[in-house]
Amino acid sequence: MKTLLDVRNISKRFGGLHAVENFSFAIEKNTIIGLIGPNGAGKTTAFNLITHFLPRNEGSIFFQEKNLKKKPPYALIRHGIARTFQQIRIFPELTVRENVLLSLSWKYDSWWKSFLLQDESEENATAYKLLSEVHLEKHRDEKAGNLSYGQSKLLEMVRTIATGAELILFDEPAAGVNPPMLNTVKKLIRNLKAQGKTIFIIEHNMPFLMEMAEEIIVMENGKFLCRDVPTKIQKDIRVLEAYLGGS
Amino acid sequence: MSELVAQLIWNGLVTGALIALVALGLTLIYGVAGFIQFAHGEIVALGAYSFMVLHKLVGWEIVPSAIAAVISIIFVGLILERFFFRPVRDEDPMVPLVISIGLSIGLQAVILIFFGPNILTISKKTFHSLSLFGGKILATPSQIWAVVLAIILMGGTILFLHKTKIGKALRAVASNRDIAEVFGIHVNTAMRWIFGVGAGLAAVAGIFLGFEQNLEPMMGVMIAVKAFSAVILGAVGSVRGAIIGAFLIGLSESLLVGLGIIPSGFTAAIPFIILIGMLLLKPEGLFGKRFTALRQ
Amino acid sequence: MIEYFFSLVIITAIWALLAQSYNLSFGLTGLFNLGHIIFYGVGAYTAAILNTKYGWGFLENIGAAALFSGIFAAGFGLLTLRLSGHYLAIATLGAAMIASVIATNWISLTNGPLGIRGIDEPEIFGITIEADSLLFVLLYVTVVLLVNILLYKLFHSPFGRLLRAIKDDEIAAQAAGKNTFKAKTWSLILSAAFAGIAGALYTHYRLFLDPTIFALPEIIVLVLMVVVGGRGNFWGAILGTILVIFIGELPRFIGFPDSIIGASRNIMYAALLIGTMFWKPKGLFTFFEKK
Repeated sequence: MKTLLDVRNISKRFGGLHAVENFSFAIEKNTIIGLIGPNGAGKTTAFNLITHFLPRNEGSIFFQEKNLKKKPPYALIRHGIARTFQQIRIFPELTVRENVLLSLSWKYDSWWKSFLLQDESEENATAYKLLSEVHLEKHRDEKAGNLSYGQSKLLEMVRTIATGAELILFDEPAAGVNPPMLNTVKKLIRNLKAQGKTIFIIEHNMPFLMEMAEEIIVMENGKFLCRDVPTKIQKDIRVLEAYLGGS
Repeated sequence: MSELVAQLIWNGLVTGALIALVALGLTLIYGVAGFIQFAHGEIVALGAYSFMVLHKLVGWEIVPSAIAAVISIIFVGLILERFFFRPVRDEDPMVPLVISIGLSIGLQAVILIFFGPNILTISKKTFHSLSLFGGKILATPSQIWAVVLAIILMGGTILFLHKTKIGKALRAVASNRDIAEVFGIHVNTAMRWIFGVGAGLAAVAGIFLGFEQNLEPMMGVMIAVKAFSAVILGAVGSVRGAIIGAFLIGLSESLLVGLGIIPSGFTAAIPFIILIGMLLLKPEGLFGKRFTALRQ
Repeated sequence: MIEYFFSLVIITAIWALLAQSYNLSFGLTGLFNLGHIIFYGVGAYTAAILNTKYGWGFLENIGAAALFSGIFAAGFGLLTLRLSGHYLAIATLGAAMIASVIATNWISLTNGPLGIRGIDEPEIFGITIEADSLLFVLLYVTVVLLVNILLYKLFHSPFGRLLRAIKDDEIAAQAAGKNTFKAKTWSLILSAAFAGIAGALYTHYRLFLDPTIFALPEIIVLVLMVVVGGRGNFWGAILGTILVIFIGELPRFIGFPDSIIGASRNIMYAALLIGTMFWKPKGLFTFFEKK
């Protein structure tokens, strides 16, 4: 299998604190990988480093064998890395459809093109299709700020998928989501896998991850702890100790 | 030359002390309430006018007039907090900020209607000769009092924030508004303290400003604008930063113009030239990380 | 009497354009720029100087003012747009004060506080159009209408959607793959270009220009128009302008003595601003907004 993302020895310090230290791993194309660890292990920081929302102190990240260096976050998305946030970030004053259209259409980002030709029928159709997958199509012309927590979460996921990225990072997709919606989330992720996408998930909900992930990476105190298939991770004594605050 | 420099340093210190008193209130309000209070300059003006009324029109002595003026302006601060800022506390920070812009023009207009556009003065200046900074300088008694009292009040404010229970609670509120209750202080109490203290400091600045310049309805605008710059110069919400920023502005204004480095026509631009220059070099302010509130 | 009415329409048209241009950067994009008046002033001075020194006419000046204000905004944006929130507000307010000081002191260019006189009235196809005539009203209303149509298209284009998204959550906009700094800079440049046009219109109407164009009260009136109408609301800015100008004329209508006309106007402005914030913080005309 081909390596899609190769993270080499990245570190991040806040003041004296090592949030992420010498962290390395690689992800193969078209897999679903989980990232777990106790609170404060540095999972979200790792996400922020991979997506360049935070600058790293050391290390390098290769995506599709290209060194990403210091590209700004928006440029990474054009390369094919997109992410959701632990604290949902949608555009509450935009309609649900506009939220999705925003990441679908690149061609009107410059004002003059936007000004001269404004045919978005194709994008509208795609947005409708994506929204139907998460049962939000009925709400497409409502303000996104009116959606429930779970719906907002689905919308954020759809908006992230709409960027067309190859690698998608979900930060706690199952947290605070009711069982029927959780099924929608699972279906969405399986569809992505079927389309050849690669998915990297931070999650505390272990049953969810046991079901979805092919492999799980465990972090502790900002460092790599271990990596294995879910069934083995579940039995790994080191993981248990990490969660119990041991070692 | 050294006489001139000494005099300019003194003038700069006086201006800096007055800016610092205004900036202190602004930075406290920003730290706890989360917005820049644009009507703070009008509180300065109200301080000057109420002192003038008590001292010149009613005929009280200076000290009782000043104390009464400061107390009444503290009440003005509390009233503004209670009726204009508390109702919108949970809105977007733009809302209280816009309200403070409205209060600023409204209060100026009220002063104009009450006192007319005539220029008023508190007293004629009498100068004393002193030896300071390696030269002979001329200073008025009120200038000397302004510098001394400003230093005492600044020290007092810092002690208040660090040594008293309520001061510690205010610093806690500044870093996280939700935590207030944990410290046994209600958000309303914190806001009252901040607006009361801020208005009191501004009133003191106003009284001394009234000795330095004429009284007119827009007299608070320039000093407030300089205080905004001082607050941002030192990193918003930082007490030490605001004080140092204020003296930096006061001294550089006095020295740059007085020594002919910058033509006097550009005086009004100096705080901003410093400010914009600094923001470009160090966008988080002289003292610190951006968005960190109320550190000393 | 009819001339007074005409002058009111002309003033409203100029301010409606200025307010709408401000609405693009402040309202739609959420850039809390208190220095917008600079672009208006730069446009006005561009027109005044080109007209009096080089004999440029009305239409050329509109183009030149837009271009020059836009270029000026590009530099201004590169310097200030890395700042956010209150930092941006105070830095840009300071920039407006610096602009005023420069206009007062750069005598060879601006003639300082004495101002520039002898500006020509607009001339279209060889016909001179006199101030406060019906033709003048038609000319100004047409120009403002055309520019507002452009702005309307911009507000409701995908680029406008991007600007609204940045106002909502800039980090999320970056996560959606948008170069938000570039979009913000373009928003400022376009907003400045339209303000520059408003400035040129002002110059060719007043036929006199001095540094008071950069004054603080002008900035506050501008904020008032956009905030009262509704930040980012296209119709809000226009209705806000009409309302503010109408209220500004009220003390004279009621017959207040001259000495308190200015003060009573400011009290009404203050009441309008504070009342709006209490009652409808998103603006009085939010019902025109699409759901």
